[in-house]
Amino acid sequence: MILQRLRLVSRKKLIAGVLILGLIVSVVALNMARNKQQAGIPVKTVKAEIKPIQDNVFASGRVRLCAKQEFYTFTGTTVQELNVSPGDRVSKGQVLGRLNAEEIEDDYNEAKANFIAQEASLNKAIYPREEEVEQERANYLMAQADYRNAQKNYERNKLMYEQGALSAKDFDEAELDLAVKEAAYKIAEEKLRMKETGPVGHELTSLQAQIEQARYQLEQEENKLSKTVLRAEMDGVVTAVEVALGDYVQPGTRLITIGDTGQLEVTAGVSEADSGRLRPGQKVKVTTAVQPGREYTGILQSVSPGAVVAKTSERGSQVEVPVIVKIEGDTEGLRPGYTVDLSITTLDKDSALVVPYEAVVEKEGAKKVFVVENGTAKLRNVTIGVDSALATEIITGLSEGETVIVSPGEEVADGSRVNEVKNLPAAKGGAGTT
Amino acid sequence: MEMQNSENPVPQPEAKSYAMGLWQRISGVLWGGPKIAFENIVALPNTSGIVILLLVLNLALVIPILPKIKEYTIWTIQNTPGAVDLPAAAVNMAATWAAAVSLAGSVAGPLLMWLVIAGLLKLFNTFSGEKAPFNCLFAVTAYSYLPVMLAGLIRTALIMTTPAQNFARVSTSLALLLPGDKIDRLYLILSQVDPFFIWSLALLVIGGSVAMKTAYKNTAMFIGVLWIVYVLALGFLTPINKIGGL
Repeated sequence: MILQRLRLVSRKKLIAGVLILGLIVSVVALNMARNKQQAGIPVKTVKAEIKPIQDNVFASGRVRLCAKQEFYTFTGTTVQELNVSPGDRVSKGQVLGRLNAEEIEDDYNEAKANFIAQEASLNKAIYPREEEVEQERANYLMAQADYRNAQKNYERNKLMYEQGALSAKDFDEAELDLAVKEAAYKIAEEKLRMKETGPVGHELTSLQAQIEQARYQLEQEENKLSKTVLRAEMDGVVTAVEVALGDYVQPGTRLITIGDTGQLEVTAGVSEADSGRLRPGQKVKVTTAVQPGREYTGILQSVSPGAVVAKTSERGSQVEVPVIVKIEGDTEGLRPGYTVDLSITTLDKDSALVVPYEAVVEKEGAKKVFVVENGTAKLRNVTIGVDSALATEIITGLSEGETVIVSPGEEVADGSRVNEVKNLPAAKGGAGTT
Repeated sequence: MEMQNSENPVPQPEAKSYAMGLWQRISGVLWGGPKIAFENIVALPNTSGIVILLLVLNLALVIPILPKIKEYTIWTIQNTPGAVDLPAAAVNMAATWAAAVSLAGSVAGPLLMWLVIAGLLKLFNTFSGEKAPFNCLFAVTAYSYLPVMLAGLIRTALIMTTPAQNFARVSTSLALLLPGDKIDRLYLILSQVDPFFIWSLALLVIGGSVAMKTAYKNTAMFIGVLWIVYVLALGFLTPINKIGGL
């Protein structure tokens, strides 16, 4: 009985021992087989997917009127009449207000008188009266007679002086008288010529210049006078009235602004890094905190050819490229001066084979991706198409569903064993994770 | 509800006129006849010897692989895609921390585990079988841990003979049967199904039944359900993207 039990126990122990040994050997063997290959390099991977690819550039800007008219003062004066309030509709030609024009009218009248006087002077010089010409002719003939008489007198005195019948003093006096008469004669001759032919050369130019100056001054005064009447040059809405009746306003003060609130545009600055992707005509989504959940549409109208320094801080300068976006369609709820956010669509393709841009590497001057095949990284040439900030379109070299490595490190080479880590956050507009 | 039944009652432990030594108990539990060994353990639950032995042994299994733990930690940090480049000092500190935590865990981990399992058995014992003292259940739990210790011995030996990068690939679970390096739900579940641990659970069923004088079936049902819940919870609640290093 005891022997039987011992045998039974021994047999059980034997079986148990064999089982335990078998388990240990199996575990060791499996581990050794598994660890023949070293662990793969951990890599992030994604599958290449066919999906829409879109890219946007974001900026903030300010709404303004496309067309507006602003009235400013050009001189210190008072507001004499004010006919509109903010929000009023106005039509072209409507008088919105008037400024006190008393002083300006005085200046205008003075300028006008000066201009008339200058004009009369020129006319007088160019078109003299007949009596004046005759008067000058008579003066000329008289000067001519005096001169000839002085010549004869001089000849006589000279002969007498040579014969000793006349003193040197008397002869000198005769010689001086001849010179005086000759000068008077030439002046009279010149005056007659001027009366007969009118002013010429620089004389005429000088007179004409004086007239132009007077005309310009008159126009200026006239312009000033016209500006004292604040008249709308377009149909629109009064968006701002910045003065009150009777206010004294300094030169350069803005008085009234009118504009068409149905035609708005946004001025914004786009980071220089993003500006290269901007093209006029691109679609723009416009949102504002004032109208939450509402989206307006616009078109990128212009991109400045130059950049400007938008902000300077201790860290450096922030350079931006100014752009103008025209709001299209319904603009209800938007007002000039609002701050808005812009999303400029720089790329919009319905269907493309895309991978995250970090999956594409440049090696030996060619674009390549690492494709994971059976736990091994395979380097493959690809041709890329368009690319957004997050994703790149692959035209050739890759098929939909193939797994590529994102941001492969330097340790990843063609043929490297890799271990896929699936913690890549889903990229908006990019490829999805595996 | 009285869970003890008369269909398959565990025979009453025979009154032993002698106490088995520590080595006799260990060999009995592992190989010689667990039921007899547990009858002796339940009759004379002397836990201090086995607890000290197992904790020292566990510590001794971790110490030789501390360099590998540090090396693997550094390798993981340096090869995690998208991770921020840490200064060398920070990487070394992380490696040192990993080693220290492993060392502390080798002692605290099993102790905590035995306490929890013994507590669960005690809970089961409140409505099933004859009342067994906690130290008796604790002793059963500790002795049942022996196969897990054997697995630890195998793992230590394998880790010492393989490059540090393979640290996380060394396993005694059924996950070894899966091909490649792919971590998925099945991998997570199978990595919890370890033959050595199942052996340990089987010993726990035997020992527990002996201690509480319950039918094997009832004890096995209780422990089996808990284990399945544990495996499925770990398999399904562990985020796959947090697992790396294979």
